[in-house]
Amino acid sequence: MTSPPATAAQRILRALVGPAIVSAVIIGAWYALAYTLPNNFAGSSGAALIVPPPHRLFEGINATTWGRIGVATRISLLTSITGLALATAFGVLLGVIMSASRTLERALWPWLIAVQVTPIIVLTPLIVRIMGASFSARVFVTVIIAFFPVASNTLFGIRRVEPHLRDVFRIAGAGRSTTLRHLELPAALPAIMAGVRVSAGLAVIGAIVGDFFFSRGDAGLGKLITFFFLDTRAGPMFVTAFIATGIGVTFFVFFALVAKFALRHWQD
Amino acid sequence: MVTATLTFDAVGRTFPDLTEALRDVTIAVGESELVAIVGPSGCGKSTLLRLAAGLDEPTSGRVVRPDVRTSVVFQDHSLMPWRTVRRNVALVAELAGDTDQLDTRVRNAVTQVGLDDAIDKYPRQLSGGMKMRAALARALVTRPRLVLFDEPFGALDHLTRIQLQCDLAALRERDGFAGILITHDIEEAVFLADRIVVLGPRPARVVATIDVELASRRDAAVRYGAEFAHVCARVARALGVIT
Repeated sequence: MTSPPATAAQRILRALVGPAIVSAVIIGAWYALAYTLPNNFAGSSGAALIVPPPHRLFEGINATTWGRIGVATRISLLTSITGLALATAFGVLLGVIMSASRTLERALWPWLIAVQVTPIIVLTPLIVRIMGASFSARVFVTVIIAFFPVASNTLFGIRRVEPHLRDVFRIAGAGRSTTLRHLELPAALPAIMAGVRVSAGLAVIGAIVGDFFFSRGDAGLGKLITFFFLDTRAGPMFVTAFIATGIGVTFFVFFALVAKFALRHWQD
Repeated sequence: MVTATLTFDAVGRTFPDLTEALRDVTIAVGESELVAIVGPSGCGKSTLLRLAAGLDEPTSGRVVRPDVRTSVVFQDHSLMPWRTVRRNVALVAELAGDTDQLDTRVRNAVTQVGLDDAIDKYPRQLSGGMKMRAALARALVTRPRLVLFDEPFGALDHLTRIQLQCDLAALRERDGFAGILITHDIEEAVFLADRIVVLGPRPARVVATIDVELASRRDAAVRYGAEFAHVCARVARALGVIT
């Protein structure tokens, strides 16, 4: 005997049960941590010093603090978006260049790997020394962190173009640039979009981590988190961290939707 | 004496890993003639087709390719998932810069293969048979004089394959293009071709050439005649399938 098919309401309920349980566990653990940490509420103001409980997250955040968080969010957002745009353009260009010949790939690949595996905290001070604590330097750090997934996925996507489609183009007498525009780049789009999705998350990390090294100029989210940490202002620190997470999640979801739209004809 | 439109003259092909695919293969394809190439799996049939298409060069002998519009149809249909049937069919003509009245030609080609209702659909929305019809339309929209078929119906179910074979026979009767048909299917070769070249195991050599003297109009009824069975038996014998 088979059970009757679930109604729309039942399906939605089932889909929400899992995330609701996990969220409840996390919030419960958060409360437990806030109220069991030694000295968490030892300050004279009574505000949490290390981990604020969820319902007291916004305590101690006045208009000035909100203003600082707003400026920092704008700076980090602008850095992430500009960095991601440049990383995407640079990554696609590198992928296309490497796909043109195995010799170029062999020449460039080891250097790209080297840049990718070098910790950004090693490179950032050098970049700041060379470029100064400028917006360009912040963006450059973001590009260095974020370009690799796009470059490698572009190369991978172009290399796995269906051989018979290449044959169709060759027989029709299509040149390199026509093949690139009408076959290779469109065919590599699913791989490129997957790379951009990963790079989007990295761009946010790059903008925030790189920010730790910028002692001059307006603070981005990374620098502001450090400031609130040193000032033992747990509430503003958590709010700033959540904004950084929110930017990362928004980027990821946005590019997942863009990919879904761009690739809607690929498969069912 | 028919004029040869494509000639393989004592052609040999050995790959860099020293695998010898073809040895001393001589075939001439006449104008408006369809030559089927049959042989055991892996004997070098597709290598022969790549040589005919100019996608590869022989290591000995020579391939004389005609200076005519050439199209190719592969088993995997090779449609672009991001283009509709209309734009897939237009592709080869666009690439070749052959855009004169292209819209009309695309619509005609799509009509000829029976895909009118699917002209604005994407490949993911088509069945296997419909995809192959779209690939046929793409090959024919440039009005080719030579069409190279690499096991075009090999991935389709039996009924769809028979239907498409009939459609292809009708298209050939109308357009009169020459062609090479690579196939594993003896009945398909006999039904569609004017001549069948049987290749031996690798390195492939021509072991038999069989003229197919059936009615020039190939319709489904042809398959049930005694002559059809007789030619099939000759091909099977040349392949060593029956003694």
